[in-house]
Amino acid sequence: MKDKNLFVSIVHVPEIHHENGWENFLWLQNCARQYGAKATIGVKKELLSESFVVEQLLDYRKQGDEIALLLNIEQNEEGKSTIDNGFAAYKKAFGEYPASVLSSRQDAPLWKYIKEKYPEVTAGIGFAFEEGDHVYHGHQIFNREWMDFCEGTPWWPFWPSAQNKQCPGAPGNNIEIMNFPWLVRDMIMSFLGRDDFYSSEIGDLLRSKVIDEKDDSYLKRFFEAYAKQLKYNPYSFYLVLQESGWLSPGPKVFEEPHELYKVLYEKYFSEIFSQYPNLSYVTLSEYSDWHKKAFNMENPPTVCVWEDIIYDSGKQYVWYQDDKARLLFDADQGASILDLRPYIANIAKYRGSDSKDLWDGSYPFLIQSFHRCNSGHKCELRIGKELYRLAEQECRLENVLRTEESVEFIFEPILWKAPNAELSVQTHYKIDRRKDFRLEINRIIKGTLPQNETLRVKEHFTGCWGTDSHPVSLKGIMLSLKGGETDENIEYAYKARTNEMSGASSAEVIFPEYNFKLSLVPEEKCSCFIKEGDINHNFYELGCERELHGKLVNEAVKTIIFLQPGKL
Amino acid sequence: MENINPSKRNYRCPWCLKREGEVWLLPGKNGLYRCIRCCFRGTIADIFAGYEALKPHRSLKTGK
Repeated sequence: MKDKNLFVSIVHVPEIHHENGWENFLWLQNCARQYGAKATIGVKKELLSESFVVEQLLDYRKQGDEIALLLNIEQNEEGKSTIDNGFAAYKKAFGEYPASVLSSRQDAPLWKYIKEKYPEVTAGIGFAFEEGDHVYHGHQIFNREWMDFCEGTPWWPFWPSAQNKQCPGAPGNNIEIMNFPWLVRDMIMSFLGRDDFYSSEIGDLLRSKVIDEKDDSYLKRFFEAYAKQLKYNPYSFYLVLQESGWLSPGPKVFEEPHELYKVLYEKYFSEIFSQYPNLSYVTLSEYSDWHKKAFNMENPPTVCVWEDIIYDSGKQYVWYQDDKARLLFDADQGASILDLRPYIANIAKYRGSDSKDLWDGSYPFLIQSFHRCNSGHKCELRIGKELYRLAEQECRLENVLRTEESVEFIFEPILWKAPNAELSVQTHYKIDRRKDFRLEINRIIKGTLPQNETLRVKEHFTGCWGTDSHPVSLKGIMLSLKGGETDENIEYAYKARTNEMSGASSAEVIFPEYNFKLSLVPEEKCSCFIKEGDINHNFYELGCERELHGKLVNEAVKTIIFLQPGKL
Repeated sequence: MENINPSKRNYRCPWCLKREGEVWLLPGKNGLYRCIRCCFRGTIADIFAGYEALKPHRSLKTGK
């Protein structure tokens, strides 16, 4: 394994029912081989009865490729016998069980079954980053709805929780099959729109028209953006999954000539990957082995700093994820938090006809600023009647600092030219990995306030709950203010109640059904509030407000967001 | 939309409007307006050109 840790996994899927499907698969394999790349080949059980297929795959295996079993089955009891049949056919063909599977529709119960019965399996393709609402509404070309809901996952491979395959598991509670994405995605566009339009697959990019015969430069920028993540992480990972049917001349879902597909696919190797001499081609199980060796069974903190690579608008998203939470900061909105998934709550769910969740595999959010446009964590400043919202200001990420125990995100200062004062406000987030989940928010303020004027700094968390764009009931959640003589509580019932407490130590929201809570804790006791919504405003709000006076020299206003599971 | 200062509510994003989304633009750097949701950046002329392209009787040539 090369020391640079820039990994590329190539996955080829033969689809022989398409015109020239087998020939195109052979072309894909030869293309990769020509440039020294190895591949993981995802083969369906049905193909294993064809002797010419098995013969060819055995030959590829000798050359270093990996043969994975493609299982396209639904989650239910009968699924176990389908898995057994598939594994038996594989063993008959190749003399051993596979090390990896392609099985995006199966969730934790069946993956646990696979691992227990076939411990050889160490890797599986099992999710599509941010696949959900946008694809569901937009995808109407295959004469059916595209009902694959798995939003809220990490973007890179991870060890899944034993209770939920879309959620990274804590050490000791995960399935030892590394969960790989179907493809890697554009980390701005897949959140703003359809994840399937902006991925590492040529066909997806042609469908969305982000590349065409005249301009394919996005493909190069897309890979470069992933390679740049090495600056923030100990590794970077890129995956291309190519089904051979896309190369067929037959019915297709893009308007460019089909011959272009092969030209662009070859460019991946000849003009893009070849620019990175330290790049390592890995099969799925090889990557899984490397990850296990590097991080044991832990899901390490992962950062993604993503610039707009389509329009070059300067928009910048900063993602963070570990086994406790996933976060999205938007530099374009003053480093506000636009998405928050509480992985630490380890919410058990799986998809399938025998599941109460049926199709919905998405991991729930506490903040999702597009499904619930009002949700987010934002900061407001006020001097007298002058109000300044950081969320309306642009800034950029200045630095990421990583240690064993923490990850810090430092954003550029934002300058507020108030009528009587000029203040600089810098946002500095620190995630302390030693605790449950502890996000420290520092607003570092410099400037001088006019005499007798007060600067009020308000941290405002507007939260929600759900997995898609439709509201879900918040009845039964508990809002709480602590630190006074007695706690002030509101049990959510859509009555638009508000409680404030001066000298409070924290504002909290408790989810009894899921047995976890989120707390907003100011460093020093101050005025805090909790707000319930009404029937047309399905949010809860937590906030705290500090007052500052006089000369401010690197005055750090610190607030902490805690996520805690367990006994409440 | 309560997060946007009313004094800055001037224009809606033409790209978001094309997708039937109404999102405010904010004044950004270099005299360009910026969408808080999508990647749109543009001058007032760009914004109005975007609105114009949305008007159905101008964008669809039926030949009638």
